[in-house]
Amino acid sequence: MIDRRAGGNRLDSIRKRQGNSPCREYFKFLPEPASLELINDPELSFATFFILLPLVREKIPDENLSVRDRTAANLCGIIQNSKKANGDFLRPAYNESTHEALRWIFTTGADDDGLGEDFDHLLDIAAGILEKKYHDADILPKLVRMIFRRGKKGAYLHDLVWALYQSRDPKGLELAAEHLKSPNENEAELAQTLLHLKPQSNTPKARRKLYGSYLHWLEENSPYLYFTGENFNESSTPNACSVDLGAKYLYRKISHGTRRPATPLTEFEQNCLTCFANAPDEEKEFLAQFSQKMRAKDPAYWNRWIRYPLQRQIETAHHGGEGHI
Amino acid sequence: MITVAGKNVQPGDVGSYPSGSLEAGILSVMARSTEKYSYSSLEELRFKLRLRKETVAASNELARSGLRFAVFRDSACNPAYWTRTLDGGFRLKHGAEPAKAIRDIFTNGSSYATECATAMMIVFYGALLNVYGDRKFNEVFPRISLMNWRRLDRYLRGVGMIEKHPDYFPGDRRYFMNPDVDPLVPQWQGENVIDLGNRLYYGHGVGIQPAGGIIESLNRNRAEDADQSAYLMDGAGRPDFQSLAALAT
Repeated sequence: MIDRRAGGNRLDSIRKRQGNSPCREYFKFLPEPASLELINDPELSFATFFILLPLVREKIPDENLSVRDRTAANLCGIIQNSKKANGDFLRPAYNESTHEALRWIFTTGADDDGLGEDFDHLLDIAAGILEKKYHDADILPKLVRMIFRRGKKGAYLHDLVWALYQSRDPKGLELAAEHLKSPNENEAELAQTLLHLKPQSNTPKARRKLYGSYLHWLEENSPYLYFTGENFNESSTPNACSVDLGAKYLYRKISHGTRRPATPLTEFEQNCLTCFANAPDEEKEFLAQFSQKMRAKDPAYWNRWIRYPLQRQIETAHHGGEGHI
Repeated sequence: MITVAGKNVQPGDVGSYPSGSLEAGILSVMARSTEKYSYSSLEELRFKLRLRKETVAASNELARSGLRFAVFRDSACNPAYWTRTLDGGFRLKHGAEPAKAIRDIFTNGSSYATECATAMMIVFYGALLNVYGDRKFNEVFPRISLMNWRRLDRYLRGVGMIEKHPDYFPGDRRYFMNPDVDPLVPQWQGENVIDLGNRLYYGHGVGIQPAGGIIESLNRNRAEDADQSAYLMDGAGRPDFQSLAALAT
């Protein structure tokens, strides 16, 4: 039985207090029942599992490992081998055990980010799969914290940022926006870059103002946001998401990934969109914003307004919607 | 349409570029375009043509250099000239001569390993070295940081931004996007390339290929349930030709 009086896992506490080598030594000479119990322990952190993995492979037959450990060990091998892949890599089964193992790798490994290139690479890939395949919103707070920690150190962060964008979740943007308020200038600048905001004056007051206006923008536009796929591999200033102005004009929520509405547009809505497409480019944003606000405030008036010819829509919008706004 | 100092100019007025040459091809597209290409002087326009030609030449040279492909975490450089940074980029060593350090990548490519975005910056620096010569190059670029687009010299900042243009030319930095990449291999999320003209592109890791070949390479690295093919994005990154031309004089 594991002695839990000290709290946590014994292997974890040896690694944290004494370092990797003493932990390996301890594990190496531990009799199998105890080593198996400690390595399969739900409390074990991934970092400890990772540093012990060569010994685990030597010492413990696969079938004795828990599903979590067996899946994680398999994923470690696959991820390491895929670094130099060119279409010839082995893919894991993207099932629930893989999801659970990746979650364990990322969430318990996050605190030890920086342990080494191979370990950090595993965290990067785990985050990417968790977001692109599983759209796992629960890891977003840790993911965003890790991005900014790496930014502070000047460490590699592009794959984590890619994972954040692949989540296609405005919650991730909101979490990144928190860092706009940071008293640390570089951290605030990184947040501006991630959110595709123009560089601002970096006074504390300006940062708070930018944070407030970004949250306001996000709240207003969240239902109409779609993720573009842009990233740091392609651009120094990726515009990760954009507002679908047509959807905003129609007051129709869209999928952040596919940019499609949940239900097909009616014929009337399609006609409205055709009309909107003919609006001058410089009016589109204003018109969409007016329409969205009016629909929320006064649906009855909006129903009349959206049926006006385009020119009249623009004129009435510029005059505050005939006193309705 | 091409205008120089406010006056319309025909391709033949710019210089005696042989028919079929890269410069003649670019001038022909510009002259036929609905876009107005304006220059303050013929020298500025000739500089632009030369830099584009050297960008294509540097791409061909880098493709033959032995430069290896590696993800940023496994990147490598010649420590005689460069310091490998924590994020996998290369920073010019204090006291190292910029021209020699850039030339070393082309002549001693197998000592280096990096991703496709860094290779694009190496190409542009290599082209500028050929255009400027060592002395001017060292003067204009005393500090060089090679990674992707995060620490760009102000004259090369535009290379890091993909923007739509009415026409695309040899020497443009383009991007093939792979939206359905398997997340196990994020290094295949897209390919940065240099347009070489004649419908060919240079991408570090995929070599010199037509668009179809690059798309095929990217598609091989998609998720099993992928339904979207990789594609060439409508946009290009370009250096600040105007400022770079002004520095040349």
